[in-house]
Amino acid sequence: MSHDQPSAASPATDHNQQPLAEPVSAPADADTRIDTPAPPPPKKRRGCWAGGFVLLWRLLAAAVRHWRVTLILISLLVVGFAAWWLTMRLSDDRPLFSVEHSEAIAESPEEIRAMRDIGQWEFLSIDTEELIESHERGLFGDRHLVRVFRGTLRIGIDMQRATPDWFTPKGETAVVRLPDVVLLDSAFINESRTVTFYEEGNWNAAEKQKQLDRARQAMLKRALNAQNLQQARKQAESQFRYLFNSFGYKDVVFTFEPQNPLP
Amino acid sequence: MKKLFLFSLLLLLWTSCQDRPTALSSPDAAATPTATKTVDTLSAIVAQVRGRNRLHTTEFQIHKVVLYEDKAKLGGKLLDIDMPGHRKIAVPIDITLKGYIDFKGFSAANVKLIDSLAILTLPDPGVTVTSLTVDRKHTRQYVSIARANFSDAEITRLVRQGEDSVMRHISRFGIVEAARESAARTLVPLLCRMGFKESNIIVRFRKDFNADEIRRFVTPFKAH
Repeated sequence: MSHDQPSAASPATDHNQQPLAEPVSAPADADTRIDTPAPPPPKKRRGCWAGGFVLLWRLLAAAVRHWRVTLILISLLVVGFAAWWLTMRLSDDRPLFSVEHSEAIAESPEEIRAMRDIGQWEFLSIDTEELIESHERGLFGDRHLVRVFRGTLRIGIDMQRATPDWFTPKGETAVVRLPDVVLLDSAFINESRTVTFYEEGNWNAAEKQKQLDRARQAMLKRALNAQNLQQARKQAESQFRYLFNSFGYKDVVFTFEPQNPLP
Repeated sequence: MKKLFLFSLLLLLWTSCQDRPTALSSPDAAATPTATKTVDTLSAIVAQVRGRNRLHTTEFQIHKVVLYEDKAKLGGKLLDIDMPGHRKIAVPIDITLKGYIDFKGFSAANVKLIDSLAILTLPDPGVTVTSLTVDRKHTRQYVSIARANFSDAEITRLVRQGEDSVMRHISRFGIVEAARESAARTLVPLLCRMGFKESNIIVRFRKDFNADEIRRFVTPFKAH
């Protein structure tokens, strides 16, 4: 009858592990005297917070103890973060220093003030520009405003001015009596396309409106000449003839009733 | 001695103002009391004439107040600091839009005459901006003392954004539909005078269009 004792070579072997190793070499009659292993001593259970606090305390203590290493690690972290921040900042195309402005306008509603049916046949369009300069010299400083205005003058026939019997079919001939060509739009300048070439000093609304009026008059004078009106008339004849031919009329006779070319 | 120095300084300032290059006179000069002399030069730059065949059938007047707040900051790669003060502007604008049918490609193929029935297939409609005016009298700007007033070039840039905004929303106005209906109302009387009964006239279009297609019909103001 043998009773196993812990060997001298391994005095620190856990007492609980003995029965697991023994059954291999134990004799068959040993099952009558099996020693129940002693229960392990209860561990001290610390709370999670307390454990974390202890760990932190030990880390802090180690950091203070090895303060040179800590200092080097902190320096490396700071330098690395600075390098990362600079890399992120310098990677785009922006300048180092700049004054930035918001670009987009705010959302605002669009209101339909008026809508109407028109019957305007456009036969000629004239895109034009006008350079307007205003310079003023004063005791307290000079003022300059140079702007380029852009507009499109449309010349054609306003069918609302035509008489009810403006078209009379006579067999295969269409007799057409049209009002003469006129300028179709009284407002033809698009101020969103105005280019402010040079501006110095303050200019009020009335002065800017004067510039616009002068540009309008100059454009009218240049575009609404006899040559362009005649060209529009020819274009009208050509296009109306083509239209009536499409409906089967072989011949078209035109008469233009005189009109004031301004709307 | 001090008086003599001050007098000399004033004289120098006065003469420096007088030695500027002379300029032509202008009607604007009378409007400003401080004005002494004004330059005005009118110069024609360019004119391009093009033949058209467009039937403008409907006209819309759109009003919009362009609102803008300049949120400036000291920026760049290294700074991100908001500038103090405020700079705001409200610019009322009026845009005239016209819906039209371009008859440039119109031919006998667009007309079908079957006995007493006339079927007209019209080309796709288009929309164009014929004018844009800025109501400068009612333009208001609110600017802190530390900030600069809005320049004319800045206002024009904002107005252009306002115009673009109107163009983006053009399908909401129904101008294309109005242009089609108005085209029919213009052409039916013409066909009636040709001898067709009104009930025997069919004016039709190629197809109905969605908002994206309508936006493509907009002819921008001539971009020089």
